[in-house]
Amino acid sequence: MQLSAVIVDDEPLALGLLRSKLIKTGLINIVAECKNGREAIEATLNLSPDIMFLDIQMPGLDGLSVVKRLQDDAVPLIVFTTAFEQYAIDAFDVYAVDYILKPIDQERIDRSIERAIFRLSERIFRSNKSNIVGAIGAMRKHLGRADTESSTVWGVNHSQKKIVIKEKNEIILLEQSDIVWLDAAGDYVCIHSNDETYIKRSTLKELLSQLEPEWFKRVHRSTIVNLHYVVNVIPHTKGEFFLELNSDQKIKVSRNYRDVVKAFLADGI
Amino acid sequence: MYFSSLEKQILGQNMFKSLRDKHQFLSNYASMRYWQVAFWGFLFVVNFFTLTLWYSQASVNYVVPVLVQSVLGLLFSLILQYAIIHFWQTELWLKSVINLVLVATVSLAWTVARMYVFELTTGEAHIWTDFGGWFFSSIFIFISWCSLFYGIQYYRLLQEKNKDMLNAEANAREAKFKRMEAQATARDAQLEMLRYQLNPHFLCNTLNAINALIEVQENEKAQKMSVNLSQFLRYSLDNIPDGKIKLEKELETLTLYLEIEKTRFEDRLKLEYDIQKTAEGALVPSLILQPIIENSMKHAIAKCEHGGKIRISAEVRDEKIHLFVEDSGGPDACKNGKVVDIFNNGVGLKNTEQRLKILYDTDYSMTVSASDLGGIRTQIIMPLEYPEQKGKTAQRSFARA
Repeated sequence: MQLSAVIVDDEPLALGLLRSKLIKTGLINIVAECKNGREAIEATLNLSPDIMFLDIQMPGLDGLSVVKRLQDDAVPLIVFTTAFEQYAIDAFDVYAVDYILKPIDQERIDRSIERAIFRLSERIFRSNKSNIVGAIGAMRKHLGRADTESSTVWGVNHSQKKIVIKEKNEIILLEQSDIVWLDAAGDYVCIHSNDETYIKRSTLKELLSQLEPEWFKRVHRSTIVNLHYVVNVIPHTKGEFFLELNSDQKIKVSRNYRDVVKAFLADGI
Repeated sequence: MYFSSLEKQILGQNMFKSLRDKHQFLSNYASMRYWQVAFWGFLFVVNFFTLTLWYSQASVNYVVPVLVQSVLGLLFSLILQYAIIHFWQTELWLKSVINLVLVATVSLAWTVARMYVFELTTGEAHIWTDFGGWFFSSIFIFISWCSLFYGIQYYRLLQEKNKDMLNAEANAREAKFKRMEAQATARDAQLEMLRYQLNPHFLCNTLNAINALIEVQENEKAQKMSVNLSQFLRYSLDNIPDGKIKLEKELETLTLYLEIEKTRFEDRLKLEYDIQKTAEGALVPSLILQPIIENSMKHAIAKCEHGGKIRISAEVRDEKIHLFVEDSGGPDACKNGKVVDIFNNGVGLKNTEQRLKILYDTDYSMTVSASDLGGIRTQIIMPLEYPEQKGKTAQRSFARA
């Protein structure tokens, strides 16, 4: 059995080393090589790989943000590669997130692949994303950004409320109209705007109750979409849909929620 | 080294720098005037009660000469005071003789003066037969004046000495504190430097890149990179935070570092040098630019998908050496075309500034502004120095060891 893999690193030499080591195992079929986070997301959405080897430090979107921006179902098994991010490594250990340290050694790669094959064959498909987002939350705590945000939403003069997000020692008040989509990941909810993904300790249900019901619809077990941003609806197999959003994002709509999309389309017409 | 001279300046200071200072201190008439007035006032009161009242002469005619004699006494004592201070530094035996003669002379003059005034106001001419008695008491009055004068002067000197000692102690403590503070800053800066140069992130990534070169059997490149890395490390570890080197040498070391980064980032890293010929030989603090360039690597080159440019320039202008590091900025800079986060550059720049402060005190400037490349431009201006003769340098490093 060969795993399809996407490998991501901004340094050409590091990418080459990773490629070479992976091919040597004979268990990996590399379907794409990416130089940054943007390309990684594109490749993941287009190729749905089994596994992704993902560098953390990258220009633009870093490795952690790549995972944050992908819808849970789209997240393949992730193996981070990192040179020296001690804070990240501690959090990865706690949340059972796999990683390889640079300089890369063959042994560690073999072990990661073994683990991936075991998970895939046993169908242990615990959400990949929730573990990683949990680890990101832990890093944030470690970096002194204690997660003390209240889950209350601040009322403003107009009927719409803003969402309060605590990030890097500052509090962000996010306009609901700026939110493109949201998805749950473990104890956190990822809130995606056009160019940023925030994580907030909350449940999807709790947030949904505070969002404008006309705009925000649940389209998946763990995903809410702001319908204003939908530019295209692409039918898929078994009654599933993909919603294409402004921000080059494709969101999967599961069968149970397809009525929402149908209603939206009917309204639109 | 400059601490000890500072301390010497504070501690080694004598109470009075010269005899003239001491003379000035002693003849500070302002501080003497109260007790002068008190002494002669006291004499007037005693005279009034013991003699004037005793002989039932409480009329203006008899009180006026008593008052006048006190005023005259004050005037004569001023002369005496001046003379005593004048002979303050002479040997004790000579001083004693001089003082006795002075007292006798002044007493004589005063006796004549006060008797004359007494005769003038009271019309009693017969007093001159009692001249011996008048003179006798005058001598004792002036001797007691002298004792009091000496007593007070020595008391004042003692006070001053105490004050000086306390001051010196406080100064010494302050100097010690300052020195400790300066040492701590220097040590911190050194530690920060080390931490910076042994940046584990840089080290691991570089080793990974060497690993990659070996994997694809690019032996020569791998060798070159490992040699560059070890040269750079050796230089960093050998570096002394207050040492200075020629700009040439500094750039050579930077090149080691930048070549490593260039191998890692390939064409994402573009370099530009603009070094004036006259600047090359000038002395700069060793590895002063490295943290700044590392900063640019981290915030500009590594953050942009298409990389960016770093420009290093140096020139000599107005007896100063000007160094510039510019970069093309991070992704936000690329987007908005303005400098974001200038001061979020953290440890590297702070550490550099600290080192400059230790080395040049206030005779330097370090400014951060927007660069026309799109990112940050760091400018350092330092005094222009050229290497000393070989012997001197050797001596200096020996002294440090």
